Amino acid sequence: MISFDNVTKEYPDGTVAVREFSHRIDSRTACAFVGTSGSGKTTLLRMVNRMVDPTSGSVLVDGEDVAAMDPVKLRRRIGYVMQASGLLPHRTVQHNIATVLLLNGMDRRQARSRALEMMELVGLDTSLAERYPAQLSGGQQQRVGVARALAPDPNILLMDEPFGAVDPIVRRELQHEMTRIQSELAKTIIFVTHDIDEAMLIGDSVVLLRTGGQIAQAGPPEELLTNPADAFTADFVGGGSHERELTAKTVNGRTLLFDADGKPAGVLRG
Amino acid sequence: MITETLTWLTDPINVTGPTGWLQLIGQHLMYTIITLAIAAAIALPIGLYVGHTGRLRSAAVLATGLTRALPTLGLLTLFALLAGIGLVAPVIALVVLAVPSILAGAYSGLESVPRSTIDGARAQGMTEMQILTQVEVPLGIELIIGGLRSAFMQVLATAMLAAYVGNGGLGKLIFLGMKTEDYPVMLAGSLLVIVLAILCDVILALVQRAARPKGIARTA
Repeated sequence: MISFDNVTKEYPDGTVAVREFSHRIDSRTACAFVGTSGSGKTTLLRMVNRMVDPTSGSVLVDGEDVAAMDPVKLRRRIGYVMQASGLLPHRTVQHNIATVLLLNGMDRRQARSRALEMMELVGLDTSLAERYPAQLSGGQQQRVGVARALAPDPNILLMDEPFGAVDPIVRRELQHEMTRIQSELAKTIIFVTHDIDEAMLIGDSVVLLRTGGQIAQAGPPEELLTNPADAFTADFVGGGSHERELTAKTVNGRTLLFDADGKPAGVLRG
Repeated sequence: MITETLTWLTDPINVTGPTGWLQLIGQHLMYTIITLAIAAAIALPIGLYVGHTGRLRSAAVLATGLTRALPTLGLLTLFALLAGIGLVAPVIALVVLAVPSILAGAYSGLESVPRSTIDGARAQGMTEMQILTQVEVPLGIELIIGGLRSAFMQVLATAMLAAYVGNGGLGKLIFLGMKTEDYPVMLAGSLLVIVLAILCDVILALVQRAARPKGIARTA
């Protein structure tokens, strides 16, 4: 369980990235933080592994204040996936995935075989093990990033717009891969994104943020869709602008659903 | 004069004799290496500190610019007046010459590493020392060695001045030739230092290339 307890982050120049944010994320659930840039979502995420320390308030992991923990040890037990993959360009795929295992003192042979297991888990061909990151596609690099984060089998996974830089088709693939992995491993995940569709796909719950880490609405995706708290939420999830409204029409004996533009979106199963 | 120079260069007495040019090249390289070792011991830790932390950067840039502006011959004369004839004065003067290049190479090498790579390494739980030794230095090694290389070349060229305050090295031929108006000997001295410089530079370029980490896109 991760709890944010009234956290504020103010920078020396007076900018307030996050003001008095409180929220709780249950163990083994995925929570998506969604918002535009400047909503403080990445700042909040990075407070969990102490890449950012809050100016006031506290972040608790399983009831323990992270401020009292050694940042290096804390980070080694929390998986972290970032947008630009952040892989070490001078190390092979296998070596990259084994990074934290080796930092934790696992012996080389064991770390290498664990890395290969991880490659299979995230859908990477193990023949890529000896490649360098620059020799991989963007999607493959992100898979390596996920594999690296999962290698030490952390309870918590922090994902900072992990699929933001890949093309839409690959992004969908990665999103579905992620939901599959999550259904297998059931980690506690915080997933930061500016894409509401991605947030609703990955998150068991969604926290919609306004500027400065203000919660516009938090809850399961269906609640945001069916019961938006205000115009901001309605607009963000698209319900208010009729974007998400589908119209049913019977064609050739089957019920088809049409989107707001009148394009067929799918077939209704009865 | 060319023939006289060649005759001088190939006379066995001038090659292997106690003051032959092999001996002088040995001295010359020794001065250069001693200087470089001292300069690196000073400049590398500072450069790595500045590059890793980003602290004192403007001070480092300023110090680099200032020491670069100092005339080595002036320094040499000053130190020779203070320390007397011997190796101390030229070595100090040459260290002052070498430090800026090494310092700049070290911090700009670390600065060339993408911030996101370092951020990722830190977020995985690397200590600051591990980030430095496993990420920043390997990725910045080409520029770091580049700094050492250009310092080496500058010192090698300027170590000719060691002879000015009574030491050996290839400069000895130049100053000797000048005093005795023996131009072939002067020419021999200059040819030797030119060849030596080119050879050293080629070797260092190869070292620099070999140090380039695998997996990094070839830039040159």
